[in-house]
Amino acid sequence: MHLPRKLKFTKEGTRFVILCIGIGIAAINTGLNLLFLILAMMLSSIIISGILSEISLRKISVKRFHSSRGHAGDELTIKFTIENLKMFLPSFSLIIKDKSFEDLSAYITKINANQKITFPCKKIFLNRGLFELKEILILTRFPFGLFEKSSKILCQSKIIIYPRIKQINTETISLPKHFLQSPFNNLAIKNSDEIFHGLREYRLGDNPKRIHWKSTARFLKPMIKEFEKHQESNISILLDTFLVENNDQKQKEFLESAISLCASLANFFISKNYNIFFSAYTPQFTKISFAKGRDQLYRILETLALIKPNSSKNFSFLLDELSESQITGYVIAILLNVNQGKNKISAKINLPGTLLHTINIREHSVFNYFKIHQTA
Amino acid sequence: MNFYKTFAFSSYLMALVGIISLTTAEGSLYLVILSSIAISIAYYLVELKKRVSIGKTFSIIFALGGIFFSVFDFLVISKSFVLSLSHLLCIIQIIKFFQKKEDRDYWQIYLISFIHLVVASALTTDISFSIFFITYLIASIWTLTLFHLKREAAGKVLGNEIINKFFFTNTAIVTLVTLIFTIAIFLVLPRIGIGFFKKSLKREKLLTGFAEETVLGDIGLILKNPDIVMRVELLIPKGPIANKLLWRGIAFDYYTGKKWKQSIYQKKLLTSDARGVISVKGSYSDSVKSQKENLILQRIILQEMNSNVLFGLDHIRSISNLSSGLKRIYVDYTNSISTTWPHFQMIMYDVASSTESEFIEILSEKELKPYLQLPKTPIRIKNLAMKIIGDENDPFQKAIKLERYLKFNYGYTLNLKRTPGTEPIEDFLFFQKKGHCEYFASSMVLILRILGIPSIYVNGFSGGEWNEFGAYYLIRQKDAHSWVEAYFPDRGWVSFDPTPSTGNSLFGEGIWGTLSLYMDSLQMKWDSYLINYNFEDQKRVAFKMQRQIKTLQSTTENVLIKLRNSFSILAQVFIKKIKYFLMPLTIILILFIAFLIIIKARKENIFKNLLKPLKEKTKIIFYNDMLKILSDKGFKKKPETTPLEFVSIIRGDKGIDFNQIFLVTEKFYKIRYGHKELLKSEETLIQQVLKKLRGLK
Repeated sequence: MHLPRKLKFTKEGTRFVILCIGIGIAAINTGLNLLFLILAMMLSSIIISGILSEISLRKISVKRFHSSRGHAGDELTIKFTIENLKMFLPSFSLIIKDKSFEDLSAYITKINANQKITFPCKKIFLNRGLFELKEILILTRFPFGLFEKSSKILCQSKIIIYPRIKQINTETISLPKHFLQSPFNNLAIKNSDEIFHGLREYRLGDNPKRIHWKSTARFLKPMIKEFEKHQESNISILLDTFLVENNDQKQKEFLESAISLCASLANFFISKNYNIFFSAYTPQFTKISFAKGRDQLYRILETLALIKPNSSKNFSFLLDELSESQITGYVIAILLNVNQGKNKISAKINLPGTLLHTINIREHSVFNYFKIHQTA
Repeated sequence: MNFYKTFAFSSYLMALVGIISLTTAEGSLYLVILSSIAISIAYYLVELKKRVSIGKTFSIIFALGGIFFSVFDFLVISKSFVLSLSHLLCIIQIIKFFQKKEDRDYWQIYLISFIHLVVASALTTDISFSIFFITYLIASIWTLTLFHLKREAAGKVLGNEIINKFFFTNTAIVTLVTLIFTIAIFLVLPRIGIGFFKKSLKREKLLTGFAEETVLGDIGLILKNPDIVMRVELLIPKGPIANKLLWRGIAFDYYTGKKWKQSIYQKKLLTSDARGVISVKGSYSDSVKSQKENLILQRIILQEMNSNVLFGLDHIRSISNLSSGLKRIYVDYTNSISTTWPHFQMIMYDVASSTESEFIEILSEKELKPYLQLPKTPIRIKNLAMKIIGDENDPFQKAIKLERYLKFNYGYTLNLKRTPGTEPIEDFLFFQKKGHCEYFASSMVLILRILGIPSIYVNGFSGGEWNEFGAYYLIRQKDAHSWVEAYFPDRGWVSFDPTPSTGNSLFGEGIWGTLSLYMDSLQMKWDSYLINYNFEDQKRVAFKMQRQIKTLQSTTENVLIKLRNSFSILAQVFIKKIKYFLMPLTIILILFIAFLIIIKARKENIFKNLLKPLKEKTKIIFYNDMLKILSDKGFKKKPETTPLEFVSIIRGDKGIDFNQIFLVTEKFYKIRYGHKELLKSEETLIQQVLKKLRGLK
């Protein structure tokens, strides 16, 4: 959708108009008709300038294509497609500017009738968050550079920039070995959340697909593989977003580091096919139930992208909000505040089969990643 | 075409046009040639050969040299500040062409060329300016457009796709539209003419003999000068006049023996009526005997000159349609019309003149006294006067006799000789016996006054060259003339021309003569419609347009009414006669339209494209049949299930042959997504499978 045109003088245009006024005064004063003729020529070139610039801007469609999500620090390609919808006339000297980015602009010398031009621009978003892309500005100073005519095209879209994901340094992570591997062995059924437990005799009603033929041949009776649900495939990531002072830059940096670490951990474990649970104050209480796969990762990343610090509810409140089923398996708590004592947390998370790891951002440099102390 | 070469060419062209317009307006041929050569060399060396570009130091040296030259120019050569400054700008512009140019330099070059054009417009009114103007317009549109593209590209190399046939066609259209707008705006811009610094840059023509006094011989000085003084278009009647044409300028009554002057320096300011017409009435005293007049209406375009006299065909009755340069009109006691100041720029006005025989002015003895003034006159002139008139008693006949005598007994020459110790008129009458118009007229005035007939000596122009293309007279300085006006109580002022006639057209014969006449008529139109376009003309144009719009409106209304009436009659006739044929005609029409549509659709393969999905649908109908059969058997395919998933679901159940279902599904995929055709054998196989499926219980 095009918004109404705007017109403004360029530097040369202002000088031209002043010259017009000068010639006009000279013509009126002297009464010389040839001066009036020159004045008329100047005024008509202003009119022609307006007409030609209007023709250039008319029926120009600009579309912006981009991925709806990206990662902070990564290059995102934004593609612009400019199409001249006029039947016969070309457009000259078009400048396309994306109002959402100050440094994003392109110049097109000429675009013929019915021609489409596509050009990509690369943009790096340094910070996570939701970016709303607004209108695109298309302007021209054609034909004489005296006036600048512009038109805005409403082209709203959003890009969610996820936190930076970095590779987890597995050497610095003191996790039980099986957490570093896939929770499934070769005998696992595809897409199943069960792990091989053992062999037993086939009973009526069992799934014949689970018959282990080698054992059957050995024992001369049908033997079936037995599986159990792997409770240790659940990982809960809990993020503390409590900032004592919201305006403190250092605290905000800690939070960003924590978010980035969260995202990297989620990415790491999901790639290992774990069930991930996530919870934090965003500043409202938010939880993402256990699930696995890329969709789950994106749900977590999206939440992390939009997190804002909260200055009212600390980590204890978060733990109080969670149910037992949500803090089972392996729990990783990422803390911002020193006062969140590990013992206090351990007291709250004290279920059988639950393993708790805390990462205190203030105490441990995030660059070391997961230099964590395993607690009982 | 290469973008950069075209850009350079158009920039140089724009500058060249500016410089040539200026130097042509100045009338300086050597400057035209010099500047053209300089710019051409710059273009050749700098743009084509890429050889030379002078550095900053040399530029400064040349510029300083230019400044010194322009000072010299101001003091010695042109003696005009504006011209010397324009010349300096020329030099600076040429220096810039030899330099390596940035955007700012180009802007300066274009500005200088514009200044040249503006100065040229103040220097000239010649029609050649129109050629420079249009060429400049074309060049400036090219140049500024290309310059803009070059600037905006900001270092990016511009390819040759921009400069093509389309570019030149479009530029031509843009130029034409700009010209149309220019003319429209020119017509509409208000002509106020405040006139604080109104002196034109153009040097006015020196015209002797038309000041408040004239020495005998002043007119003779300009009788060889071919410069144009005025053009006179005859509005009523149209076409050349058979009578002798005397374009009255200024009259003198007092003769000192060597020069003529006006004895009374007193002028009356004339005022215009509601229509803007200034009535002269031909008399300082305004008393007239007869109002019956047969008027000749002329439009006079008077060139710039160092005289304030207004000319017109003898006898001037009224003046109207004054150009913006004319504010106050005066008449003196000799009925000579003048303005306040000399004509610094070209002026235009209309004059209504009456033939002398129908106008009679009544003057008293006191008023006639100045017209009888005589200097100390030798006795032999008086004797000659008596000898010439003989027994004649009638004053008018005396004048006729005198006129004839002088005309036939004295010769015409521009190469005057003088007898030392004699008065000019005495020398002419008794010794030289030849001279030019001043001597003939002066002699006649003296002799008439000796005979007691009031008379005055008049300076003006005589005749002129008729231009049939523009229907006007062209009067040059060489047409300057002196004649006599004598007063008779029963006839008023009557003109006499005792000079024997001479003179040839300067336009020449043959094709060049015709071409010259045509070019001069174009110049006349240029002067008339553009140079002298004024507020009155604007009013006239506006009224004319208003009248034409009204005429067009009423004509259109009449036409529409007539059409409507005609149609209603026709419709009635049509309905009466055609109603029996209406149905078949309608059918034929529909069929014809349908036929045209089909032809067009076939041409654009519309049917093929329409039928394509239908064809496809027909081809895959076997799959739908299979689904229907399976559905009846209790295997309903869910919409979200793909065909292959459906196959795996029903696999091995209820005796359905999985392979067969899979085969049919495969063929479905082949047609639907592979856009391939089935073989006959495949079609047969599918039918067999479907038959088998139908047979299952």
